[in-house]
Amino acid sequence: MLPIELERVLDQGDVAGCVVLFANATERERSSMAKIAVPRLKKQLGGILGRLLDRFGALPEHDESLLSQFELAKREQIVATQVAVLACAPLGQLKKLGVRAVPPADEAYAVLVARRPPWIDEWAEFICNLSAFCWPVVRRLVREGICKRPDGDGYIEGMLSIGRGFHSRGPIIEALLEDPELLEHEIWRIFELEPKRHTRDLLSAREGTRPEYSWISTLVSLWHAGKLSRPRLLDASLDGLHRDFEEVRANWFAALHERLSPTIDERAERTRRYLSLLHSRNGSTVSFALKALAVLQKGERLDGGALLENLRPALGQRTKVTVGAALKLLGRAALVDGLSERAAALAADALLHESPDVQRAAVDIIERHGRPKDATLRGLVEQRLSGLAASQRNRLAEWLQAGVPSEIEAPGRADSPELDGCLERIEALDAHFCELAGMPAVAAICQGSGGEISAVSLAPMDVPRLDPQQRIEPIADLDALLERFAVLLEDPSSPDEVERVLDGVSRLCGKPPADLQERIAPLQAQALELIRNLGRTEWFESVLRSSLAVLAVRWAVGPAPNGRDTAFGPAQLSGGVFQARLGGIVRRAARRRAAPLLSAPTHAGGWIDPRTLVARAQTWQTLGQLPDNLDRAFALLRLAPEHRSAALQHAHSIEGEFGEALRYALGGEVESIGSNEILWVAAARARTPFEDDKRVEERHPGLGADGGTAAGYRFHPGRRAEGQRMFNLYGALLERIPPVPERCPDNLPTVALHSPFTYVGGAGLHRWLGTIWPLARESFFAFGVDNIVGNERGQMDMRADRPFLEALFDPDVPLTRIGGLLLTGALSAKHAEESLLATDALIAAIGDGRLDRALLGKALARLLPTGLLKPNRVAKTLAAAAKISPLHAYVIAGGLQQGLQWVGGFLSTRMTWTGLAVVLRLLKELLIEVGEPVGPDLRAALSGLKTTANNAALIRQLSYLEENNSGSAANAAARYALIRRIERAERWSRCAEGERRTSPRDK
Amino acid sequence: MSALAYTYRYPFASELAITPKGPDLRLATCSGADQHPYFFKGQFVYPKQAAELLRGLSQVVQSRYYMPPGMLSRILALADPVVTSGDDVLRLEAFSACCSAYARVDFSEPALDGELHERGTTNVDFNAPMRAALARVRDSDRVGLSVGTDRLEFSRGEETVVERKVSLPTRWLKGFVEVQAYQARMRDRLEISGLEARRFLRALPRGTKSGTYWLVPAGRGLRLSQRQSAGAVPVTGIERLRVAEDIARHAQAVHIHVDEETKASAWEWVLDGARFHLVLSPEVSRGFSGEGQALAALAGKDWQEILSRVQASLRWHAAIDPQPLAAKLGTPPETIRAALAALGTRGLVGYDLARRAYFHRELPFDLSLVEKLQPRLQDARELVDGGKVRIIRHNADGLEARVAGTEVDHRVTCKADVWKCTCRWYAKHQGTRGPCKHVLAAQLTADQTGNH
Repeated sequence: MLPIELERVLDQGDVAGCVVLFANATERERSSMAKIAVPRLKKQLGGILGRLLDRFGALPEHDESLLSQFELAKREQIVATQVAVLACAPLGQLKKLGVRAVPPADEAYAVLVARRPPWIDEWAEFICNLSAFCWPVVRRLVREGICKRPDGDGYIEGMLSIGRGFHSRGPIIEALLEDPELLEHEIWRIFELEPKRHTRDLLSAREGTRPEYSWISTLVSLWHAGKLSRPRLLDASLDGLHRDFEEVRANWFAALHERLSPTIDERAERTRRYLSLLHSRNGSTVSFALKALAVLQKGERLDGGALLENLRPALGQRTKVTVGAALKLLGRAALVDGLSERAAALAADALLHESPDVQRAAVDIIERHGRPKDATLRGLVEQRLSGLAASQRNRLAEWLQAGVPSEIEAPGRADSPELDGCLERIEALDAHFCELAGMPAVAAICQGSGGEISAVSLAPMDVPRLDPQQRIEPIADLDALLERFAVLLEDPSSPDEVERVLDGVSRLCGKPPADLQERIAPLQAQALELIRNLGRTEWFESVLRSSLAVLAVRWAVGPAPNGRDTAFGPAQLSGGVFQARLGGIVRRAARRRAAPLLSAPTHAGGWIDPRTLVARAQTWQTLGQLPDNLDRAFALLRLAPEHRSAALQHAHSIEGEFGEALRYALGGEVESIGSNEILWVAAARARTPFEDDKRVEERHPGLGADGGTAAGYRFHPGRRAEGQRMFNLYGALLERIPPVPERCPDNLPTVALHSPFTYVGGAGLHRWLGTIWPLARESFFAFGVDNIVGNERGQMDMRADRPFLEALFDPDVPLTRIGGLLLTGALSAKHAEESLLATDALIAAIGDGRLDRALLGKALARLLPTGLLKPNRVAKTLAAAAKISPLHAYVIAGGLQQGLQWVGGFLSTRMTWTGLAVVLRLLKELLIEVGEPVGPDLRAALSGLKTTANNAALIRQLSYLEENNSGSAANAAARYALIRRIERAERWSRCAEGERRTSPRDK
Repeated sequence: MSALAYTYRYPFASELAITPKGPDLRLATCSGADQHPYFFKGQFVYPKQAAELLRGLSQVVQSRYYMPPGMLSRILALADPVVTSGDDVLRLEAFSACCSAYARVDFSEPALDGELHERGTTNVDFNAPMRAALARVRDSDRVGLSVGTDRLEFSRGEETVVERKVSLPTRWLKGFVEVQAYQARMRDRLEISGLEARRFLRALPRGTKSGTYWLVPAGRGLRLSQRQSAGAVPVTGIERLRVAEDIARHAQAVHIHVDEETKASAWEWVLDGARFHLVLSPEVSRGFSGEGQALAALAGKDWQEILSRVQASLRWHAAIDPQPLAAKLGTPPETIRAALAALGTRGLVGYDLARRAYFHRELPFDLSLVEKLQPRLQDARELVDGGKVRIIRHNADGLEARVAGTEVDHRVTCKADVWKCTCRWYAKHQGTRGPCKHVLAAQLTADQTGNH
C-alpha cells in the first residue's frame, strides 16, 4: 500500500475504496498510514463540525448545507478519512479521537472485521461508554463473536437508544426480535443500570409516549408474545427498585411492575419484597410499596405483624399522601388482636408531619388503639405535643388527661412571657418614647382592659434614627483606604462601605505622598483587570464594581484625556444615579483635589447627623469651594430627623442657594424657592417627605412623583398578567401619581427612585439605592412590589431583589400601605430563599410592633383576590411565623380573619376552591390557637358560599368554633408585645442619650 | 497531575450474607502494606441504626452536590470509605465526589459487641449490592459484622479477589486532609434533640439551595432563617443535610459545630453508641480542597523538629490530648497542636469533634503528591528562592514586606499577628481561605532571616 493511493481515495471521498485498500494490509502497513490519515481527520474535524460530532455522535447524514456553510470537506471525504483512521491508527490514538474516528456502522464493521486488532474488546468498551451512536457496530461485532460483550453500562445504554433516531428507526420490539440473543442477556441488564445525566430520559416515566417506542410497552409486549418470563420481569422490576436509584429511574421500575398487573397471588409471593421497599430512600418507591401492600391487606393476604415491623420509615415520609396511605394501612392492621398498642405507638411517628390532616389521622389511631396509661406511648405523645396543630394538640391533651389527669398541663402555648421587672424598666424610660412606642395601650391590655393590640405609629420625624452604635468610622489613612478599596472592588455589597470608601477617596486624594504610585499600583492593576474581564469572567455586581474600578484608575493615573473614560469600554461613566454621584468624585480624585464629601453618611443606613452636615458645609465655605449639585442633594436627602432645630440655628451662616435650601430642609423658612431644582426638590423631600410642597411644585412644576409633589400610588394587579416586562416598564403593579417622566433625570434622586432604569444592577446597587433617601422608603418599597409580588422570576433576579425585603427589617421603618403590600406579597414567593426572608421580615415586623391585625388584613384583602398570592405558599409562611410567639399567632389569626372578611363576597369569584380550602384550614388552626371564634362578618360571608363539600365541611367546623379562653391568648400576646416595645423605647433612649453626648466629630 | 491512580484490591466483595444465625455484614478491607487487615469481628447491637449509618455514609460518597462546568462529561470513580480501628472506636470516613461534604461514622462499644483484632487504617469495599442489602436490615435482626477476614479463614476460602482501578482526583485527596484543619477550628454552637432534628430536616426547602442560611433556635428546635441575628448559626448548601434524614430517626441529639470565619459547619448526630459526623464546606461549589487552612502551619517551622516524635506517639490512639503529650515531649502545647495540624495535612491524624481531639489514622493513599501539590506554598517558596521578597521593616509594631507579583509589587504587612496583602486574592477572601502566596512568602522569609 502506498501513501499516494491512500491520499487519492481520501481526496475522492471513496469510502468503499478506502475499506478495500486496507482489507489485506498488515499492522505494519497500517501504522505507516496513520501519519497521513490522522492529521487529515484532525484538520477536517478541527472546528465546529468536530464539536458537533462530539456532542451528537454522528455526522449529518443528508444535509450537506451545514458542511458547505462552513466550507468544510464533503461528507464522503470525512467518512473515508474516518475509515482510514479506524483502519490504521493505534488504540491510544483512537481513544484520543473518540467518536470522531468512528465511521458509520457498516464501514466500521467492515474495517474491524478485516483488521481484527487484539485490542478490539477494549475499544468496544471504550466507544460504547462514549456514545450510544456506536452501539450498532459493537453489537454486530459481539453477535458475530468478534469481540466480547462489553461489561460497562454504555453498552446497555446504547441498546436503550434503539428507536431514538440514530439506530433503526422502527419500533423497539422489531429490533429486539431480530436479535433474540438480546432477550437472553442484555435486556435483563437494563434493571441494573444506574441512571446518568444523559441517559436519564431513556428509562424514565417520561420515555416515549408512543407504545412502539416505549420500553415498558415493549417489555410487556414481549411477555405477551411469550418471549420474556413474567415472574422474572416482576422480580427484576422489584430488584431495580431495591437498588434505590434516583426517583426518576425508580418510577420506571414501578410503572413496569404495575403495567404487568400482578395478581394477588403474585403479589403475595413477593410480600417480603414490598415490605422491604418501605425502607427505600425514594418517596415514590415507598408510595408504590404502600399501594401494593394495600391490595394485599384488602385481600387479607398481609401479615399485620410484618407490616408493623416495616412501616416506620413510611410514616416519616414528607408527602402527605404517602403518610396518609401508611396510616390507613396501620389503622386496619391495628384492628388485629395484639397489634393495637404497637400500632398506636407507630402512629405517634406520623405526628411529626406538618399537615393537620395527617396529624388527625394519627391521633385517630392513638385515640382508638392506644392506652392513655401506657407510659411509653404517653412519652412519645408528650414529646410531640408542642409541634402539633392546635386542633390536634387539644385532642391529644384531652386524651393524655384521661390517663393521668393531675400531671397534664392545660393545652396552649407554654411560652407566655412574664412581666417581671417590666414596671421598673418602663418607669426608667422617657415618657415621650413610651407614648411613641404605644406602650400605655398595650400595658392596659395586659391589665385586662381588652381591645386590640395596635401597631406602633412611627411618625418619621419623631423617631430617633442616629444610633451611636451605628456610627460610621471614617477611613483614617491612605493604607487603610487602599485596603478597603481593594476589598470593595471584589464585594461592594455593603452600601456603608461604598460610602466610606468614596468619602475616603474624596478626603485623601489630595497631596499625594511621594510613593503613591508604588502604593496604589496593586489597586490600579486590580481595577484594570476587573475592567478588562467585564462580561467575561466578571459578572458579579458589574455596574458597581466597574464604576468603582474607574474611580480607582482615575485616581491612580489622572484624568482621561478627553474627559471621558472611553478607553474602558462598557465601564465608562454614563447614566445611572450611582454613576452620576460618582462623577464628581472621579473628577476631583483624578485632579487630586481633596475635600470632605458633603453627603457621606455619619451613621449606617445612609443617615447624616444634621449638625455634622452644617459643619461640613461651613468647611466647604471656608475653603471657598462648592460641592457638586448631586453631592449637596444627597446630603439633604440623608438628613436624620433629630437635631434639626439645633442644626438650623448654626446653618444661618451658610451662604448662597445651598444655604437657603439647607435651612428649608431643616424646617426653616425661606423667602423664595431658588432656581436649582435639584437642590430644592431634595430640600422639599427632606423637609416633608410624605407631603406635597406646593411652593417647590409651583417653582419647578411637572418633575414627577416625589418632585415637588409627594408620590401617590394606584394598585393595578391585572398588569402582572399582561406579559413579560422589560425593565419593569410594562406590567408595573403600582402606578405612580404624578407619573414619572419618560426620560427621568439621574440628578433628581427622589424622582429617579421611581424609574426602573435606576435599578439596572445587582443587589449591591439596590442596597445602595435604599440609602439615598432613608427617611422615606416608600418609593424603594414600591419598586420592590413591582419586582417581587406575583413575579415568578429566576434566581439571579431574586438575589438582586433581596435588598427590598432587607429594608423591611429596619424596626423604625413604618409599614404603611406599600411596605405592607411588599411584605405580604413576598410571603408567597417561589424561591425558598425569598419566602424565608419575607417570613423573617414578617416575624420581625410583628415582633417589633410595626404590623398589626388591621395592616396585615388590609394587605391580604388587597392581594388574595388578585391571584398574585399563591394560597398554599402564603399559608405555609403564615403558619411558620405564627409559631414564633403568642403575639405572632394573635396578629396572624386576626389579620387572616380580617383579610378574608374584607374580601367578603369576592371569595367565591376571586379564589380557587383549593386555595380557599388551604386558607380556611389555616384560619381554623390559628383561631383554635388563640381561642377566638369566627367574627359575624366573615361568618356571614362564608355562609353564603356555594362551594365544594370539603370547603363546606371546613366552613361548618369554623362556624362551630367558640370563644375559648381568648382573653388569655390576647393577654399573652400583649405581654410579649409590651416587652418588645419596652426594648424599642430603651433603644430609642440609648440613641437619644448617646447622640446628646456626642457632638459632631468632623467639623 | 490532577489525579492519583489507585487500585482497590479486596479479597472478596463486601456483602450482607444471610447465614443461619442471621444476616452477617462482611466488609472487605483493602490490601496495603499489611495484607488485608482484620480489624473486627462481632455484631451490631442496634442493627437498623448501624445499617442507616452505613447507608448515609455511602450516600455521601455517591453524592455530587456541585458539578463544575468542565466536568459534565467526566465520570468520577467512586472512592470507597476509609476504616480506622483504634482504641475502642471503629471509624468509617468518606468524602463526597465534589469534595464539599465529609462524613464519618464512629462506632464504639455500646453499639458493637465483639472483638477488636488489629489497629490500623484501610479502605473497605462498599459495593452497590451490599448498599442495597443494608436497606433490608431490621431492628429484630441479629446482624454480625466483620471488618476484614481472619487470615486462616481467608486462606481456606474460595473468594474471588475484587480489584478496582480508580483515578482519585488530587482535589479529593486534598479535601480529605484539609477538612481536619476546619474541624479543629469549629465551636459547638447549638444542640437539639433528635426529634427536633427530624422536624427540622422535614421542614427543609426542597431542591438545591445555594447561599447562606441561618439556624435560629425556636422553642426547643431550630428554624431556618435568611437573616443573621443574635445567636444565629450559619449553614450553607442545606440540601447536603438531607443525607441524614434516615439517620435522624435514630438520633438522640444533634450538635452543630461552626467555624464562624468561613461558615463551614459540622453536624454531629449522637446515636446509641455511635456518632455520625457530617462536615459541610463553606459553599457547595467550594470543596475543602482549595481552602489552604493549614498552609500557615505548613509554612511555619516551629513544629518541624518535634514532628517525628509526635508522630511516634500517635499509636492509633482514639484521642490525642496535646497537653500530656506536650509535657511528655517537653514542648509547648501550641507546638504540639501545630505539629498535629501538619500531620493532619499528611493524612496521619483525623479530628474528632465529639472528643475535641485528634485521632490517629493513616490515610491509605500516597499523600506525598498532595503535599507537593500545595500550589500556593510552592509558589511562595519560588518567590523566596527567586529573591522576590524584601523585608522593608520589622520591629515591635509589626512587619512590612514587598513581594513581587505578576504585574506589580505587593505590600505585605503584619500587625498584631494579622497578616494583610494588597493582592486580589487577599481582597477577595480576606484570609478566610488561608493566606495568599505573598503572605506565605513573607512568612517564610521572615522565618529564614529569624525576623518572624
